[in-house]
Amino acid sequence: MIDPISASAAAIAAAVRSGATSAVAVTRAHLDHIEAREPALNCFTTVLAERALAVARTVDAVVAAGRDPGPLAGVPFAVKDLFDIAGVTTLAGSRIRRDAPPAAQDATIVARLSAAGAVLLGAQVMDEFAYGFTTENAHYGATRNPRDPAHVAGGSSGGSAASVAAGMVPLALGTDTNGSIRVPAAFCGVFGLKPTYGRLSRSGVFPFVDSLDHAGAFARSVPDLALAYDVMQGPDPSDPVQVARPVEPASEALASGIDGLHIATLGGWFREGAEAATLEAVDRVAAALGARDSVELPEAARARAAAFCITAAEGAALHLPTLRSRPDEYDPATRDRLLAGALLPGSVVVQAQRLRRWFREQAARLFAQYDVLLAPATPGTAPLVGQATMMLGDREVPVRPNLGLYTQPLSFIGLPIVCVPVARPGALPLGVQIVAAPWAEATALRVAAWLERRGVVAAPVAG
Amino acid sequence: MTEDLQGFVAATAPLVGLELSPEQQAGVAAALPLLLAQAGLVLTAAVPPEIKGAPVFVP
Repeated sequence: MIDPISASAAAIAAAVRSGATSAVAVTRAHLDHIEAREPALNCFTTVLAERALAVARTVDAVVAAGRDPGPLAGVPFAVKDLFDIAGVTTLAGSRIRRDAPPAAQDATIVARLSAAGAVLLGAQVMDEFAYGFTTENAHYGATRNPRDPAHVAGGSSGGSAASVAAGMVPLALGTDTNGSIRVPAAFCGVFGLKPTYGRLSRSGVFPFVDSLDHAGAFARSVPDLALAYDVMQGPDPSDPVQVARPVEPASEALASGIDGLHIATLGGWFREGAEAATLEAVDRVAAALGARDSVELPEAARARAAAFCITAAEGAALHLPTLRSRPDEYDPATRDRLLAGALLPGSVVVQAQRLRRWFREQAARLFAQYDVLLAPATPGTAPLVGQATMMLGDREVPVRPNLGLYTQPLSFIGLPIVCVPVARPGALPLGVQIVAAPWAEATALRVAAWLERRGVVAAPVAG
Repeated sequence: MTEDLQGFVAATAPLVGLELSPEQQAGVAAALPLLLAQAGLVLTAAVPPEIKGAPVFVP
């Protein structure tokens, strides 16, 4: 008999498929757990109890009929509130979209998880329009970190990461434009996957910065992350950015180990300003992997700056109509940055895109020598809720723009990354980015799985 | 400096169809220094002239 709250997605699916438990029992257990923990954590904007139980009954009926509901049979999951859910208004963390019509259908990758037997439990709190790293939302409140509720969950996919850490769901979907999967994964102590730009469909996902937006996932184990990733892959012509590559399953490669892989640690920008504990976490992962080389990705600071400018300008372009007509309905912290982006000269954006192509070539040179690069996910552990500044080396800097220092240069060029939680008993979690060459998600997941099997990284249910 | 930026915002925002209150102008003026500092880093990057911007980015 499994404990549905601490069980992995794979274990839940196996138990449901074999008839050892039912999808309805698993769903009820998670809905009860959400009800118990939600008041303290604030992870959900919408809980879809009736829809979830109806889907779970369907899964159980398929099992009873002797058919296979799919590899995620009865596995509860939830999604950041910018993924369309049929019949539900996609809020994107905003007040402005409260009067938008309900979505006509599920987002593509939500539908793919459901088709594999997974059971959608609800939509989750995020930074307004995904423009933030803390999930302190002026309209829906702050999502609290399940490892210590005095601290933020990270963002912008904070509700998603926190819900996985708290055992509310074993799987959740998020998006990552500048670090919005990796920062909350690191702070909440769960695994996060940001695939290659263009790998997973974003159809039915409310956009933020079209040229940087990625969809991805959170889980408490690497096999669960790979399982969900494999189910979500595949061409989708309705997302023009998505590349029509065949499905390249990652799950089957997880047991391969790390023999033959060349791994290095990113130095320079990726070590400047980080807390000692952060660097120790990276070094511990590197030592476990036998990675002795340190390499530089040149001009990472300018790459981060370029991502910053593209974000402001594209975000502003997207929101210009509502910035003109309903400016008072934005969180001022979101609105002011978008408005500033609206005034940015176009030459900056063109130069940023040129820099992007050049920076991609610099990364390609490293990947000609190495299969995997390691970097911290954040400068330190999760700040307190409401904390305005933090120390970056010996400088006091604002929290919100600086949590993505180490994530932004890498998503800027669309690299696939698994963020792994380094085991630190009694302390807040820290995350390490396992960075692979474009389209080599399976390699990053393989390294993460090896670390998990050896106990170097782990994501137990919090509290 | 801040007053100069607020004046810049007050003058330029209407040109792109944005009618901002003084409070909103002040908020934008406060957001601009960080953004422009990043823009400065971008504009001073030594990108070789043969590197072109691409309308669609493929990793």
